[in-house]
Amino acid sequence: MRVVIAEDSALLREGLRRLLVEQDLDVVDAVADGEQLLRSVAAHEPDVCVVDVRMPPTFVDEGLRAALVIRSRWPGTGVLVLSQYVEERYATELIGDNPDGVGYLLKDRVDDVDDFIDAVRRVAAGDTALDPEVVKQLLVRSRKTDPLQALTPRERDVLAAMAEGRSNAGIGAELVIGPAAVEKHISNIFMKLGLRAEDGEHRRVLAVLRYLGA
Amino acid sequence: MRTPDAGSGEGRTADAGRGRDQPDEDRPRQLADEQAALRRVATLVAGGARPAEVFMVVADELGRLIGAEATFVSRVDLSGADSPGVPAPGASGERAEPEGYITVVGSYGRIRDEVPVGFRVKLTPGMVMTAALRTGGPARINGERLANGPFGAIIGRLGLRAAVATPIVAGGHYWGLTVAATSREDFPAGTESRMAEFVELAGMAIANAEAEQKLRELADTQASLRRLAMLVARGEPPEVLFAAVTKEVQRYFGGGTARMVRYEVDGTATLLANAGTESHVRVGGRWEGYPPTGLTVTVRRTGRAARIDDYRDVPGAEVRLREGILSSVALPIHVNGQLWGMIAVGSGQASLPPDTEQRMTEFTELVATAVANAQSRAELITSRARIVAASDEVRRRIERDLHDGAQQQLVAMQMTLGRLRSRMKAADDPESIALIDEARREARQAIGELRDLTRGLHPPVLTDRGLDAALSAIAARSPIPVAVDVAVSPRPSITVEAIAYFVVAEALTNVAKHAQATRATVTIRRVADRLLVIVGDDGRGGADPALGSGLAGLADRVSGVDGTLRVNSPIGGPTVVEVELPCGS
Repeated sequence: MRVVIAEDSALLREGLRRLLVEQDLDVVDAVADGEQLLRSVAAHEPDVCVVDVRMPPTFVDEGLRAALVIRSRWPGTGVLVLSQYVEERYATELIGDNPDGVGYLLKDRVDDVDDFIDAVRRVAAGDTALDPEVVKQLLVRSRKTDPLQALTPRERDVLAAMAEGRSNAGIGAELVIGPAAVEKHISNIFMKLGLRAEDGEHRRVLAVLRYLGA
Repeated sequence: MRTPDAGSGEGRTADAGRGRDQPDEDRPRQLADEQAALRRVATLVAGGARPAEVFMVVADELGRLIGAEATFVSRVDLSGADSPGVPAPGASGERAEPEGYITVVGSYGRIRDEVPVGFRVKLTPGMVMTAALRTGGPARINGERLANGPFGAIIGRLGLRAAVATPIVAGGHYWGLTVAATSREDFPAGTESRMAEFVELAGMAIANAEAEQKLRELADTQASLRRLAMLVARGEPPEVLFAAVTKEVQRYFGGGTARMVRYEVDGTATLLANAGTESHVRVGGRWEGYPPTGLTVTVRRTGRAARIDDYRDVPGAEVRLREGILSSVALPIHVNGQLWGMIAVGSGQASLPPDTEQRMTEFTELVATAVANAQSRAELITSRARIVAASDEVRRRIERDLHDGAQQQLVAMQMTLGRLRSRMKAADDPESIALIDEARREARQAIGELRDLTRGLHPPVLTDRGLDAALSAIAARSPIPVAVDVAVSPRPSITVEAIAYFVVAEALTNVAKHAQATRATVTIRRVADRLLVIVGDDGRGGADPALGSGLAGLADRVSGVDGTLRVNSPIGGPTVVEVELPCGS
């Protein structure tokens, strides 16, 4: 898997590069700002890029803006945005109307290499990886409050885990419940949201999107 | 009161042997006349007549009493001292040639038109009045010396041939003079002493009348100052006070016109208020077209009070004469030791009273106080706002520094720990892995706390995306559901946004800690140039903003930008925290 890193701190850039390389990912480029990132993506067309939000020249949201350009211009390249803070507004902008190939995580998550590499791979594969923190924010700001009221607290936990991009096994592990229970909660969620079986695997994404009001 | 009857001087010789030449049978009748005249004057004073009226009657009675066709009473202002506070010379004392002015306050007979009330003239050596003031007693001039004296022209026109002047002394000081003139060859001998006797007593009446008038004026002035001070205390806008003060000043001093002018730093001046005569400049407009040697220029140059007694003597003052202003007095207004402006009064008569400057001082001081208050209030507001903005800037800088420094170091450490743990997985060393996990937990806690701290300083998303975006994380942190509704366009300043943000954060923290609420709402609206922040909950109420609930600290920041914070929290709830912040453009 080919990866481009964009991170202005040399320390973190190098740390990330080593971390990914040690996990057998192919880091084709590591750059320090949004403009270089766009050039690099144009040159390498990687499977995924791992992007810091605050970068030169303004140290505000350069990474985010570069990510949006990449998503519209190179749909085949996943974007995993890393930040010291996660913000609902940035997530909403990043997802737009399509959560495919988007990740948005706190930088802290790098301390669990397995989880982190899993997120990188999922985003590269076109799936979603959202930080639990930002999912909480998304749920709070959801304008579609009615379906949310219909869910039991447990179902909301399961939905939140889904929104983070976890698999059924991942959800079960996190909530300490068996696979059958996970399945049951998920089908209840789909039902309460009015999502039919023919929507297929995509239902997971749709469920998340409906809730998020995105 | 003292009527000196000894001394020497040119007027004295004619008075030699006064009294002794008079037939004895006239004496009782004269005394009776004198008594009657004095009684009339006294009755007038007791009836509360105005001084001007008393002066007139005194002149009148004096004329009749000594058979003079023309008499007048005048104030005297001797220069070189605060007249009329010049000590009268002792009985034998002779002072240096007096210098100064006399101002007619009452006149009688033929002289009325030529020497009317308000008539002001400089004392010169040849005058009978000058002689009287020099000796401190009555003085007489007749014949050639009168005809050739400074009043020769008037004297000639009126056919007057002899004049006697007697100083009026009150409380040991010159108050003024009386002058009597006759068309006869000369006054009879003894006229001086009769006049002096009458003047001694009439002078007392005059002084009383004037003292009473002064008291009335003082009371009026105090009432007026009190009214104006109320305006200051109420914090009325300066323009209101300027207009009110100018109106009062016009009423008390000029009667004609009063104007307040502010001196600008660029050398121009602005008309702040106008009362009485219409001004050619509108209020608030640039004050110009004033005489080049007039009071606007003089006060600006000297920073002191200035007066013009007769605009006819001032080159380029036609503009005032056309307005019907003949004399004027201007006082500087000093604010915090700096010349700020002036107030001028103008009168249609020559020469305003000599105590005008002194009496106006209280008004200018009031204006100075009001202006200083308004200025320091404005300065306080801007400096408080500057402090709030500066502390905001410091918070943002610390957030950036921590983000680029400690936070990144911690993340780098987390990466290293993560990589180390991956490697150790293969080594089958559960104890080492447990240690690494402990380090990871500690690092995660450290970075979490650091993040809370930096977010508490200033969340970058607030600057970047505004209040609505920044409040998502706050709402998500709340253990109870929070509905956030923000409509703020255009965005207020970073400082105001930060205050609003922290108000919401603190209010929601309080809701979580104390309110036992099931839900909370955050509503933020921009209404014109105010930002309204309302945080409500359905809890039990009873919140006291004074009880160290972090909101008290925020109240300082709120008032720092001249905003208001209200907490309405009746026992039983609900609680509503309302903050209003000015956000002018």
